[in-house]
This record gives sequence, C-alpha cells and structure tokens, in this order.
Amino acid sequence: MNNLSLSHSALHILNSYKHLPIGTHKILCPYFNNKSAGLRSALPVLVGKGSPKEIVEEVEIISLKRGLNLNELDEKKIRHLLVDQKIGIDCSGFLYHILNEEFKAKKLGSLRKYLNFQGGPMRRLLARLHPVKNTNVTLLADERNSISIKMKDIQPGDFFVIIGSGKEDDREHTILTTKIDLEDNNLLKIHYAHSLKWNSDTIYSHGVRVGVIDIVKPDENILNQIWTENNKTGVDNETYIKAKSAKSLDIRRIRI
Amino acid sequence: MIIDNSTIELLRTAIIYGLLSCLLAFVLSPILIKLLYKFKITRQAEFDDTLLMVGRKNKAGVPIMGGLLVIITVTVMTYLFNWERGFTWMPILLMLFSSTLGGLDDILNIYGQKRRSRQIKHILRLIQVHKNLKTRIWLIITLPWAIFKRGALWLGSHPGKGIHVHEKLILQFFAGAIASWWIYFKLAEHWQDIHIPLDGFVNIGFWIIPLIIIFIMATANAVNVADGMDGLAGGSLLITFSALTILAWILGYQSIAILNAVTAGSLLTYTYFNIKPARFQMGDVGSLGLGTLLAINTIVIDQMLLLPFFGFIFFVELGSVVIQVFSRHILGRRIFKMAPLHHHFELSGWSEEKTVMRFWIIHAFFVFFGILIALT
Repeated sequence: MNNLSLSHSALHILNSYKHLPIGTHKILCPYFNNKSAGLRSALPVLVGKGSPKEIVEEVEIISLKRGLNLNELDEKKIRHLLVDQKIGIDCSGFLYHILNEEFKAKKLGSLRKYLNFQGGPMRRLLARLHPVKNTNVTLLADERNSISIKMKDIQPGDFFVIIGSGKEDDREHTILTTKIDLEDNNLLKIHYAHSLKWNSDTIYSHGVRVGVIDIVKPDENILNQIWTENNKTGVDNETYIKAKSAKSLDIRRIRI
Repeated sequence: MIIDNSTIELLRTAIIYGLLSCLLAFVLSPILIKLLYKFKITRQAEFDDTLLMVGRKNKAGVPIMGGLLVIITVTVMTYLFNWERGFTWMPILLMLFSSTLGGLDDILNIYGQKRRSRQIKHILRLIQVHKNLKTRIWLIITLPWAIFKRGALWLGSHPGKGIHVHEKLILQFFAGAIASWWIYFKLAEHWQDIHIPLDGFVNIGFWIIPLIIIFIMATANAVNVADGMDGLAGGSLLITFSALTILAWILGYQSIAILNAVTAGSLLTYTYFNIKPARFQMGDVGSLGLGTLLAINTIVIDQMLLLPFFGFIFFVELGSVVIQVFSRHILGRRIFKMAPLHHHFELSGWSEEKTVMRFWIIHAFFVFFGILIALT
C-alpha cells in the first residue's frame, strides 16, 4: 500500500489549525462563519478567514486588551475565549490557506493566481488584494476556477463541494482531501479535513475536523462508501448526512 | 553678546502673560470641571472601544472638553492684551472655528443621534434598479460625493454619532481656506514667501494656498489623534508652545511670542489636571483648536516647513494611523498591535505613564532640533 498526501508545509498549516499554540496549550481552531457586513475594514481573521498565525496573534491582542494572561488560562477557557470573541475559521478559508501552501510547495505560486473572482473590475481588483476574504465555495466550484474530477482520479488537494444542504437547502460546504491510500493504483481510502459545526456540537465544541472515506465499492458513487469522522459512521456522521442530503456533491480540482 | 533691553522686555512681557494665563486657567478650572460633570460631558464607553482595555476602564466617566480651559484662557488673554489685526486675529479666529467644530463633535457624540450613510454597493444597486429615473440620475450625480463620504469613514474611529469624518474634513478645509484667503489676499506679498530652512525665502505665490490648507488640516487632525493618553497631547503641546515662544521672541514676532506664552501658560494648568489620573481630558474642542493654532503659528512666523519638528509626536501618531489603515485595507493585516502608536506601546507592555513621558522626551528632542534649524 502506498499513499499520496499534501506537502509537509500544507500539512503543517492543517496541523496548526488543529493545534493552535495559545498560552501553554494547543487549541483546536473553532468553526466560525463571520459575515463581514457591519465590520469596518475587517481583517481576514475577524471574518473567519484567518491563517493560524493570524488567529494566534489576534487572540494575543485580545488578551492584552482584556488584561488576560493566556498562560494562566486552561484549554477550556481559551477555547471559550476564541468562540466568544468570534475567532475561528470557515470551510473555504480553511481550504484556501492549506491549498495556498500546497501550491507554493509545488512551486505553482500563490493560489490566487488561479482564481477568477466574480464581479466588476473594481470588485475583482479588491478581491485580488484580499483573495482569502473573497474566496467562498461558489467561487471554488466555478467552472472557471476548478474542474470536476471522478472519484477514482482524486488526488490530495482536490476538494469536495457540497451545495444546497441544510434545512433550507441554502448551505454550501467544502472539504479538502489531504491524503489518499492506494493499493496497486486502486483507491482504498480518502483522508479529508474541513471546518464545520455539527448539529450535535455544543457551542464550544465545533471546529476543524478530519475524517476518512473507505472505498468499499470502487465502481459506485462516493456517497456509497463508508465515511468515518470522530469515530462516527453512517447516519451518525453528520458530514456524510450533509453530503448525502445536498442538492449536489462534486469532487473538484483547481484549474492550473 | 549683549541683548538689548527692549528684547529682554519682550521676553519678560511674554513670561508675565504666560504666568497670568496659567493663573487665570487655575481660576477657571474648578468652574469648568463642575460644568462638565453637571452636563455629563464625559467619556462614553459606547463609542470608545479603548475603554474595554484593562487599565483604561477607569477613564469612562472622565469629563472631556477640558481643552476649553486652554481655548477660553487663550482667547480672553489675547483679546484683552494682545489683539492685533496683523498677527493675532487670524490665529485666534481660526482656533475658535476649529474648537467649535471639535466641541460640536464632542457634544453630538454624547447627545446626538446615530447617523448612517449608505454603502456604495447599495447606491450602485439603487442606480440599477430604482423605479424613478430622476432618483437614479441624482444618485449617479452624487456618487462621487457618496464615495468621498464612505472613503472618509476609513479615517474615523467611531462613526455613527457626532460629526462625521467627511464633514470634519470639509470644515477643516474651510478653516484652512479662510486662513489662506486672508494671507494671500489681505496681507502683503511677502506673506507668500516661505522660509526654506538652511537656505532662504522663496516666493511660491498661489501655491501658498493649498500648502496652508494641507498644513492646517494635517496638524489639527494630528493633535486630535495624539490625544489618547493622560497628559500626552497637553504635555507635548506645552513643550511645543514653550519652544515657539522662545523662537518667536528670537525672531522678533512680539505678538506671536506673547500668544505662544499665553498658550503655554494655560497648557501648564491644563496638564496639571490632565496627568494620570486625569481630572478631565482635552476632547476635540481642544485638540482641533490647538492643532490649528499650532499650524497657523508656524505659518505666521515663517517656519511652516519646520512644523513636522514642532509637532513631531503628533505627526508620528497621525502617520501610524495612516499606515495602519492603509495596511488593513490594502494588505489585509495590521502593522501595529493597535493605532495610534501610543496604544501599540501600551499593548506591548509599557505603562501609560512610561509611554507618555517617553513620548514627551522624544517630542522635546525634535522640537529643539527644529529650533536649531530655524536659527541656523
């Protein structure tokens, strides 16, 4: 069995989100989807699009302003601080930072070079200056930015695009493939990571998550495979339910 | 070198007026403090996020508009003893104009209603979809104005109540325009000369107008931005106006020397009450007024180009805000932990007292450096 995975630097970004170095602890980055409306000159970190470094810096600034000593807070309190201060990462921001690092590792340059942003000339110019803030699932799924991939051809760096999920079918989500296990060129497992809040999560327990899809029926749809996350499979795995109940589920790869 | 008696007399006069001004301010201060508390002209946590910072919580409820002490003292002393068409009318009238603007802002921030302006994308959408053609045409015509208003928001710290940034900029421009009109059209042609340090005088003609406007707007806002810690603006202005008293005296500007001495004297009293823990704070009424007075002062004594030295710490603070705003909007990240610069040092572990005193020292260095260049 062999496997293909994201580059070390991209995996480092992923691990940084899972283990943010705050105080004397390693904290899981919460999920948060901030809207930028109402936030003047919002930094990416304040709208759920910050890199791990930016998130840690922001928490330090917040702690300085509040007179908190992060070294004296336990893990739970630090996590509460992040969630209460609306510091976290959303699915597309999470994907952007990891994929951006992956592209740099492969000497392809910055991810933004390969993204066509929507809107008029001014909007596109602003998006070029702030690519991560202007990246969302719709943009990633746009035909100009990515192509559809068959399950058997999936590679690390490809991503799932889930559109039309949730109670009102208006939710979008994206999941990044971090590693694949192969045997004799046959796909065995797909390892993935994303940032999501499950319905069963408490107000403070959501965040970056990793899972694996066991390919048990290679000739069938990805939804007919076994999705495991947090030791939960099948209908207990809310990510799987989200993907299954969506209007569309696609595997995509950035156009290069 | 022997200094003649008349020169000594001028200096003595200036010092006397400065001390009188200090005493007058001391007499007025308890009355002012009482009035500020009575009308609840105090710092509100509602629009000042810095009050959430540890160590600054006790500033909530401290009276603002303490700068009125200086403004009133300087105006009264100048009107009674130093009222001269050629030299002191313009500085005092401009100071009062800017102070009124600042005072209105202070009061509206407490008692005013929240006002909002439309976002540009909403306006563009209305231009596309509004049923009424005349309204759409009007929106197109006023689009540059709307862009200016929203763009100016970037520079403000707490929009909503009070005078909006774009309105302040326009009124400050107006103040600068009045000063430049007076200097260009009403005074002798030599007023269009500017002194190039270490060189000489150059007549720049019409260009004196935009230069004056820019300097007045920049300095007023620079002092306003720096007024964020107990004693910072007051102490720094005290250093500046004391130095300008000496400089005006040396250069032979009698009325201006006395005006500066009076300002320094009242600032002495103001700073006495403003050092930590402050009994009152300057507010926009003081910072805008005194910033304008500083700018026009250097213009009148032909040292306009040395203003960056005489107002060094103010321009550094203003620069830190510009850099931070530029960085946030264009680069998407912070340069400083917080702007203006004094907050950055505060968040870096410096106490408020340490920050203020070090800023005073650095400011004094550059002020005296400016004096040195002026005298060279």
